[in-house]
Amino acid sequence: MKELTRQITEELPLPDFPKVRFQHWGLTDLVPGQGQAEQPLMAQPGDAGVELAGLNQTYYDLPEDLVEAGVLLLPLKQAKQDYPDLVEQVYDRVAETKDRLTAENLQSANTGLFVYLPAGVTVTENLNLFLVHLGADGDLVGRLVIYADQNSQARIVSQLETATAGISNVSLVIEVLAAAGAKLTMVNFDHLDQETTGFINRQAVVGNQAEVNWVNAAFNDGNVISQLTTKLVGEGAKSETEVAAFTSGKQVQGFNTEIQNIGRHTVGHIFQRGVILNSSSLIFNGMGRIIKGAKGSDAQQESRVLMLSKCARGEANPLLLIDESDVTAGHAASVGQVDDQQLYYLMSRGLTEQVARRLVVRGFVGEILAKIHDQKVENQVVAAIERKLNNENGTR
Amino acid sequence: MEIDRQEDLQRTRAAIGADEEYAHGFHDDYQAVYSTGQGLNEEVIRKISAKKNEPGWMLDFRLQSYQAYLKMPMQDWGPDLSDLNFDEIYYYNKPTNGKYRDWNDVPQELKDTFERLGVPEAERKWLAGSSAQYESEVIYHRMKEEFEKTGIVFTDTDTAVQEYPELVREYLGSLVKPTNNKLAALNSAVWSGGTFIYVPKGVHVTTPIQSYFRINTAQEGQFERTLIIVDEGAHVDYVEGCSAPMYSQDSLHAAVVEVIVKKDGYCRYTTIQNWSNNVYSLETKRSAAAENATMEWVDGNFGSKTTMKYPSVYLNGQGARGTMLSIAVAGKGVNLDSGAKMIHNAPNTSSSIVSKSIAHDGGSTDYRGTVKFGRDSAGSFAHVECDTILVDDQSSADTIPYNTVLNGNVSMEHEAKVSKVSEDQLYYLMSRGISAEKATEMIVMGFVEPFTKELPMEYAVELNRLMKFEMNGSVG
Repeated sequence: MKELTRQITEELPLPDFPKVRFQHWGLTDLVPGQGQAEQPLMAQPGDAGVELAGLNQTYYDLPEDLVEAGVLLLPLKQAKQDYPDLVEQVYDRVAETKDRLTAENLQSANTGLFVYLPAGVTVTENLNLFLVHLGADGDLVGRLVIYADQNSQARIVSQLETATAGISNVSLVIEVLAAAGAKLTMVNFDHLDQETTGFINRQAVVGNQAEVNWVNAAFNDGNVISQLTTKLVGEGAKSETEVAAFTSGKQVQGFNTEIQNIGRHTVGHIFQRGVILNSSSLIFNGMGRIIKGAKGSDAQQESRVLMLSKCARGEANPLLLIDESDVTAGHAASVGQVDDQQLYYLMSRGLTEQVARRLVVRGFVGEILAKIHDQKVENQVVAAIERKLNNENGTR
Repeated sequence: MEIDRQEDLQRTRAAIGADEEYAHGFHDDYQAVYSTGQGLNEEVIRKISAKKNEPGWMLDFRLQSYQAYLKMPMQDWGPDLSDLNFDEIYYYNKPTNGKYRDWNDVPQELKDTFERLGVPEAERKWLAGSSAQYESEVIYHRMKEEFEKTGIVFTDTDTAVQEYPELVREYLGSLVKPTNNKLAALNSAVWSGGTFIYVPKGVHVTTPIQSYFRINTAQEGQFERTLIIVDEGAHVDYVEGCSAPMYSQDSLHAAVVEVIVKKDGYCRYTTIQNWSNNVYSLETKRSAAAENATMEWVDGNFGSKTTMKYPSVYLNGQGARGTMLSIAVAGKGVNLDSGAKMIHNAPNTSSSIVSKSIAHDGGSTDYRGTVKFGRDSAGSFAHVECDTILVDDQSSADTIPYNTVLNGNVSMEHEAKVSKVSEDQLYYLMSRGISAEKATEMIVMGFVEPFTKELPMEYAVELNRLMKFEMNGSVG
């Protein structure tokens, strides 16, 4: 691994988020928090998984059979010492350090997790990662390294939440490697508070006949830029990437959602749904990139944005960059308001306008939420939708 | 590597009928009556203005634009323009009177190309740079008489500065400000030629006005400045360019077009361009549509080395409509970066963008567009459709659309597709005994049909021939 100096870091360009002005957000000035939680803040007895709250403090509970099968779930620092060969395959490799914010994360990260799924292991229960941001203590600068070895399978559900309030940053880099035949579903529920400014960079490399699917629910209340890049490197690699986002208040949330078709016969689908409230801004930049040689590949994307306020700003920018002719690629985007016909239909059935609107909005993102497959997270997302919509009514 | 590039260059030139010798020969023959020489400074601009005997306000406009040009950076997005050397460009050449290249010296390839495309005899000479006269001059004059009865003004922009200074002063630069981009600033400083049209209130021009008839000024067309004003309730259909390859000794063409469509007015602006492969065509085209007015761009692009062109419609009045229908065909060594901008600034406005691209033999086509709904655009609607065919493995295509929405009460649909020539369709046609080449041609022709059917007949015929010519040899 090459040495990253402060000077190199400062010379790197900021990441490219078209149509998002985040340059003045202060994301380059990170002061990693030194605090730690005394007890689990989110994890509950019986959750299979790990909680990361503050400095190197993790609580975890992994079922016996998984431990016996060789599944690893431990602090990144410890993993670097105990399993350097495994960590090295993924760390600072899947997420290339090409922009300033990723470099700042690499330099300053003082907390992190490593997850390893040995070859052939299937984890039937959801693995939970609770990422707690102690805003009162400073910035959360963390790195998650996830390595799914050949033919392993798992669903990893991660929740990112602010536990104690305070003006602060979150810089989170998540690296995922799915080796040949592995099948991974990553469910992410981001729930940072209004005072937290975030840079979240999720990157995956997908091997031969492997699959990494994403279900991301972004319900942050502060300004956040979120990068999600999946590189379909192996032949026949696949990704279904789904993003549901709500913005409210005066916040700005920008999403770069990218799939690169590199190997032959790779399939990458992006499906994004956004709901925009109050005077907030939501920017979806979808990118399908087919590299030369990725014959027989398929890149599709669809972004839909629902505007529920006159003062909101929405962007749905579906980009396709194609260097190979033997492919199918397409995109669709739409921006609209709550469908009047649906609304009238529901109201004709005796529902109040408020309830009818709520149902239409929930239906709009429902398809994505149905893929969470985790009752607790689903309940939390529904509660987050309610909270955002209630705030909307309060300020109208 | 170097040899490959030389070969490429020769093949490209041969394809447009301009071989190495021809390119050089043209330079030798070319004698300008008046030239400001290479490079640009304030003195050059003063000379241009003086030569044209312009009023002071126009000189001021040019000089201010030049200051803006000096201050502005080149855009850092889109195609690579680093090969462009602004110091080597001749910013103003007044062409010779009658001293044109002998038709006998025009290379056989070019003549063959004209023959295959079926370009009318009279135009061939002009296209080959061997004539500044066009035999339809008579028709032009007859048309002009017709126009004068109804008050329509159709002339070149230089003449308009002299004869209609109020109109020019009010509208030139009103949509494309010199500070819009560096090339618009450059055009504003050194512009020459271009078309000026004014259609008075309620007047309908029933047949398309064609810029064919202003060929004398077209020779000056490196920095064209076109201004069209369609007054309330008026109606005009304007066509310029032609699909035959146009050889130009100038490496940079930076035109500016402004179209003002007033209340209830209608304008359709059709362009077909096919530059030789040494040309950077970097154009700024803007229009504004007032209440219930309609602006339609119909835009066909072939050839050039690099084209950057994103015609826009500012939908400023309630109920205004804007449309863009475009086709781009890029062969070897060609990068066509084009698209459209629809800016919805008023309630109940609607827009439609339909873009069709074909990249073959290593060409690249990019769609780059913007749809924006402003705060006051309630009840507006936009439709965007981009379809691309990649004919072979060497070609590439990017689709880069931006859709910005600042009003909750609007709707927008955007769809794009990139594919190769459909194998199902190919097999079907071939099973009917049609050759692969012919079948591909048929599929491509079907693909561009929505475009060709919007063209005046002679253009459609010519374009069909050109498409066949372009696709020839690109299969199998």
